[in-house]
Amino acid sequence: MHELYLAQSLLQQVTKLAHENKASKVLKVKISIGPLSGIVVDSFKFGFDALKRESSLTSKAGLEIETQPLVLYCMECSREFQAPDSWPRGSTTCPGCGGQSLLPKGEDEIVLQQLVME
Amino acid sequence: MCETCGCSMSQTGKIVEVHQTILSANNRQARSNREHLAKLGTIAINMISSPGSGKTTLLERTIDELGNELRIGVIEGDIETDRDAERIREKGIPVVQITTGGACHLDAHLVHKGIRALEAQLARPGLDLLFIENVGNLVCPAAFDLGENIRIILLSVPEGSDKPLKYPKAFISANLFLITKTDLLEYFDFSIEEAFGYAAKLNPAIETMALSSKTGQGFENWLSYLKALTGKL
Repeated sequence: MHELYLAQSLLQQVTKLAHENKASKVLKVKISIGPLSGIVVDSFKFGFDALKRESSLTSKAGLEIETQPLVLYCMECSREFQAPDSWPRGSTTCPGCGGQSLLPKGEDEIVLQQLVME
Repeated sequence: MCETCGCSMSQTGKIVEVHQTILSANNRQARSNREHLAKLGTIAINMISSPGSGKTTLLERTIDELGNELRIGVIEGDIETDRDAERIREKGIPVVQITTGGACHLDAHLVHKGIRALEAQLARPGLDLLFIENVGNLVCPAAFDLGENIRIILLSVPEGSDKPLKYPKAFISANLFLITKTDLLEYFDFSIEEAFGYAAKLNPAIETMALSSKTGQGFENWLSYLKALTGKL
C-alpha cells in the first residue's frame, strides 16, 4: 500500500548519495527487503521504475533486490529454521523438539545495500 | 560486479557500500521525538487499527475516566477532516489534528510537528499520556516508528478474529493487542481466544485485553494498564 512512498524514500536517499559522490548517473541500486517488512516486491519495483524516470540521474538505474527467508526461532530448544509457507496459518512445530512457541525473526525494513554510479 | 571474475571491481562505475535502511530519516526523527518526550516524562501511545474500530470512542471514554487524574493530550491522524479532533476537543483535552492529505500513515516528522503544536496549547509543559491516533489502516502505519513508547493494535469484534494472520506486521510490532466492541460478541462469530492465539503466534510477548467502550466491560484493566504506564497506579 505504501510501496510508492518507500520507493520515493529510496530514490531520495540514492539521489543524495549520488550528489555526495559527485556522480552524474546511477547505474544500479541494490537493496534487501526483510521478510517481516510486509512489502509487496512487485509493487515496490513498479513504484521504483515509475519514479526513477523523473530524474536523468536515476532514469537508467537498475534495481537489484535481495530477499531473505523468514526464520523461526524455537523458544524451547533455541533451534532456528526456515518458516514453511503455511506459517502463521498452519500449525507449525519445531523440527528439532516439536515445540510450538516459535518467534519470527528477520529484518522488517528495506535496506539500501549498495550503489553503482558513474 | 566485474563480469570476468565476479570481484567487486566494476569496469563501469563506482561502487559505494551503503547498508542503511531507507527509513533512516524517519527513524532518526523518531528517536529524537522519544528523547524529547522522555525528558518531559510523557508516555506516548501509538494507536493502530482499521478505520472504524473504535479508537476515538475508546479515547473519549478513557478521557472521561482518567481526565481528572492524568494530564492527557491527543494527536489525531486522519487523511482528511478534523472530526475526530473535534470530538476530543469537546472533552476539554489538548488535541492537534494532523491531516495527511492522502498519505496512509503518520510518520515521525508529522508527529514532531504535532507535538510542537500540542505543546503550544499547554499552560505548563509535560503530559502524563500522549495518545497518537494513527490513520485508520492496518498495513502502512506498522512500518513507521513515531517515537512512541507503546504501540497498541486495536481490533473490533465485527472485523473478525483472523485479522492477526492477515496483517502480521502490525501484530508483530505491537506491545498490546486490544479487542474493542465486546458488547457485539453475541451478534458475531468472533472468538477472542482465537484472535489472541493468532496474535501470540506472531508475537509471543504481546499483551492482550478486551473491552467495550460502550458498556465499560473490561475497562478497569485498561485504565490500570494506563496508570501503570505512567507510574501512577
